[in-house]
Amino acid sequence: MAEDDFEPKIVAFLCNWCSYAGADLTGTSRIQYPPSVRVVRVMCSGRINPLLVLHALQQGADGVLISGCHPGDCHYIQGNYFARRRMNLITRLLEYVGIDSGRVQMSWVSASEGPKFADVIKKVTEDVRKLGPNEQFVREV
Amino acid sequence: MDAVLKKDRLDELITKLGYEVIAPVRKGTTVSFETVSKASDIAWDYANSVVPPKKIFFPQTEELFAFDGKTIAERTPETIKRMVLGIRPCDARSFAILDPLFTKDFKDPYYIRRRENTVLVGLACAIPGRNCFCTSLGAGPFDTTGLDLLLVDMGDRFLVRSVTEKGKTLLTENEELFEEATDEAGTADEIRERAESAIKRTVDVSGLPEKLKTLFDHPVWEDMAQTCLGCYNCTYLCPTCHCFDIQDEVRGRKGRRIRVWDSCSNPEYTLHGSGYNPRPGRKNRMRNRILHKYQYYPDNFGVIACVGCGRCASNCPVGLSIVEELSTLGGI
Amino acid sequence: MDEEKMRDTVRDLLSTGKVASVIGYEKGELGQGARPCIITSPDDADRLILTPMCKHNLTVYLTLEPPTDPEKKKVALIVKGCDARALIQVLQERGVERDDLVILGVPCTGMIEPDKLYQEVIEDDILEISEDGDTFIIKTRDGEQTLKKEDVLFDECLTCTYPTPLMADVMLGEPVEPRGGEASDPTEGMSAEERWAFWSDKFSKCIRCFACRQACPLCFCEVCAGDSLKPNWVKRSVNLSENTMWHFIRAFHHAGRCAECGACERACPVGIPLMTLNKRMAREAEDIFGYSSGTDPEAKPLLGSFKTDDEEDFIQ
Repeated sequence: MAEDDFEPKIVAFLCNWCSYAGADLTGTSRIQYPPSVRVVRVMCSGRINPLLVLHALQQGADGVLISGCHPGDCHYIQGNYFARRRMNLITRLLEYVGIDSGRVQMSWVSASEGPKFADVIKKVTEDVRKLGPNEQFVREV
Repeated sequence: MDAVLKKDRLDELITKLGYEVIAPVRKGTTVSFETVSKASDIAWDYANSVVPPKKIFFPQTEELFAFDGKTIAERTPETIKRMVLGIRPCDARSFAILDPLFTKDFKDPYYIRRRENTVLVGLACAIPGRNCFCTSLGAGPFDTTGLDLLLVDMGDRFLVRSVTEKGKTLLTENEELFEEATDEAGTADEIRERAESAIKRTVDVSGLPEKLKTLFDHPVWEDMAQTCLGCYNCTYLCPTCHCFDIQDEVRGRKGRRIRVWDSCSNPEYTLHGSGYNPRPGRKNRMRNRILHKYQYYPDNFGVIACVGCGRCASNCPVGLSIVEELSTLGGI
Repeated sequence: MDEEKMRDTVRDLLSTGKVASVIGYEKGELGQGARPCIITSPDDADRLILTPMCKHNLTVYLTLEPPTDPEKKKVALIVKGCDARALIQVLQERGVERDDLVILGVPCTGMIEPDKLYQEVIEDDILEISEDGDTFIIKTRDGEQTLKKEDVLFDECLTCTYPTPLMADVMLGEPVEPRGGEASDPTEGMSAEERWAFWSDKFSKCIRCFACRQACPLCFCEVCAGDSLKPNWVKRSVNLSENTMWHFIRAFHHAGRCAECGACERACPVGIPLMTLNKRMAREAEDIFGYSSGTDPEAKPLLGSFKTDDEEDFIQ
C-alpha cells in the first residue's frame, strides 16, 4: 500500500566513467535531488550481475537503479550493451511474477548530464514511492 | 480398547480438545500435512503426503536463537498441545525409529518437547500406495507402532482403537463423543487383510544389515548410482532421514542460528574446507545413504531406518527403486 | 520410433568399440514405465527400449558431473526432439565436445504422462503400448483399450515445436511435423497482485531439493548460484524469500537457454509449474531478441552477445 510520506530506499549502481561522474556533477552544481538513493559505484554497467539487482530487493531495497554510459559511448566499448539485454530480461521476469518492474529501472546518464541525473532520481523516487515499501520477498533476517 | 466416532462429531472433538490439529490437506494434486480448523479440510482419501510429517517435529528450518549484538534470545521449545490426525502407520512408525536418535546422547529439546505434547491419531490404510512395501519391514497398513490411536475409515464413522495410555486417556476423557463398537472390528479385519494382500512390492531384509557389512568395496555401487541425478528428493521426502546442518544467518550485528535439513546426496555435505571431498561421486553418496539406513542405524539403534513408505521410489525423477536396490544387495 | 533399429545400432556401436557406453532407456519398475539406463556391453542392447513412456531428457548425463575421465571415452545417447535441442544448446556453450558423441535421434510424437495414463488403466495390468495415428492402443491383461493421445500426453508435448531432432548421427524414425499451438498459461490475464499471490503460493511449497536443477541438462555450472557461499545469494533457510530468490536465479539463468523439455517440472515433487515460468522467459527471448535456444550449435548465446540496436522500451 502506498503511503505518501514513505521515503523509498533506492540502491543505484552507477558506472564509474559516466553515470557516477554525472552524479558527482549534479552535486557540485548544487542541484537538489531526493535523499532516497544509496550509490554503489561500479566500473561499468556491464559488471552488474542481474542477481545483484534481485539481492538488493531481497535485502529490503524498495527500488534499484542501474545507470551507465549511453549506448555507443561505453568506456569499455560494449559493457552497456550486455547490461541492456540483462536488465530487459530481469524487468520482464519481475513483472511476470507480480513484482512491479517500476522498482527496477535503467538509465543512460553521461558525465556531463548533471541535471539529467537529478531528474532520473526524482522520477525513480516518485515511481517507487507510489508503489509503496517493498515487502514481497524481503529476507527475514 | 475399541470405540466408534461418527464422522460428523469430529468437529466437536476438535473444538473440545482445543489442540492445534495437523492433518493431510489436498492442494491441487499434492497432499501435505497442514494445520486445519475443521474436519472438512481433511483429505481422508489420500495415499500419502509428498513431504512426510517429520516436518512437524523436525521442521525444515528451525530457529534456535536470535541475537542483536547485545542479547541472545533463545527460542523456548514449544509446549502447545497438538494432534496429528490421519497420519499413516508408516509415518507414525518413523517417529518410533527417530525417537532414540533425538533422545540418546544429546536430548534434543525442540524435537522432544513437540513430541511429548502431540497426540498421534493414525489412519489405517485401506488401499496401499503403488510403491508401499511396509510389510517387508515388519510394519503394515494397520500397524500401531508410534501411534496413540488408530482410526479405521468405515464410511460414515471411524473405528477408534487405542494403542497407548495417552490414547486411552483421550477416549475416556471425551467419552460422550464416542460410541461403543459393535461389529466394526470384523469389518476392520477384512479391510486389513485386503490391504495387506494388495501390497505388491516386497523385499527380504532379513540379514541385510549383516550382509551390507561385507559390501562396502563391492563394484555393485557403481552400477546402482549410474543414473542417479544427485537431487535431494529421496532424503528430504524420507520419513526417517534426519540429517541437518546448523547455520548462522547474520546481517551486521543481528542474526539468528538455524537448523536446516541437509542431505547426504549433496556433495557439499562432506566437502572439506581444503576442497577435498571424501565422498566425491554419486556412487559414494548413494552407498552412504543405503548403508546408513540399513546397516549403521541398526548397529546403533537396533532398527532399520526405513518404514517402507516408498516415497523415495515414487518421487525419484529417474525411477530408481529402493526395493530393487535392496533385493540386488541382499542377493549378492 | 524404431526400437529394433535402435537396438541394432547400439549393438553395433558397442561391439565395434566406436563408443564406450550408451545412454538410453530401460523398462522402469515403479509406475514410470521407462527410466534412464547406461550400458557398456553389446549384450545389454536388448535391455534398451523406445516407447511413449521414455520421457526423461538423457542429455543431463553428459553434464551431470565434471568430466573425470582423462581418456574421454565416446558416448552414444538417445535424444528425442526436445532432448536434442538441449544438447545443441549445451554444445553451443561448449559443455561437451561434438566429437565425443554419437547422437541417436528419435523423432517424437509425444510422451505419455504416467499419472494421466494411470487414471485410465491400472499400471500393473499394462502389457504393451503401441501407437496408431492420434491414439495409443494399450494392451492389458483384460484386453485392449484405446486412448486419445491428447488425453494422456504431457502438456509440453501437446505444444511441441521441435519434435524431430535437429542434430543426429543416426535417425531412428521418420521426421515428425510439429503440433504447434500455444501453451496455456494459468497466470494469463491476472493482475500484478494476483500474479504475486499465485507465484508466492507456488514458491512457498518448494523444499529446495534441487531436483529441477539436477534433472536439467542446462544446469551445469561448476558452483551453482544456489549453492554458492561466496557470494551467498541464497541462504540455507527454506522460506518464501529464499525460495523466490532461487527460482528467480534459475529462471533468469535459463532465459534464452531453456530447451523447454519439461524435465524440471516432472522432477519437482511438490508440483511447482516451472515450465510456465521457463516458457515465459523463452518467449521473451524470442519476442524481444528473435533468439531461439538450442537450434544452432554455432550461434552465440543470447546474453553473451548483443545488437547495437537492441530494444530498450523498458527504459523510460
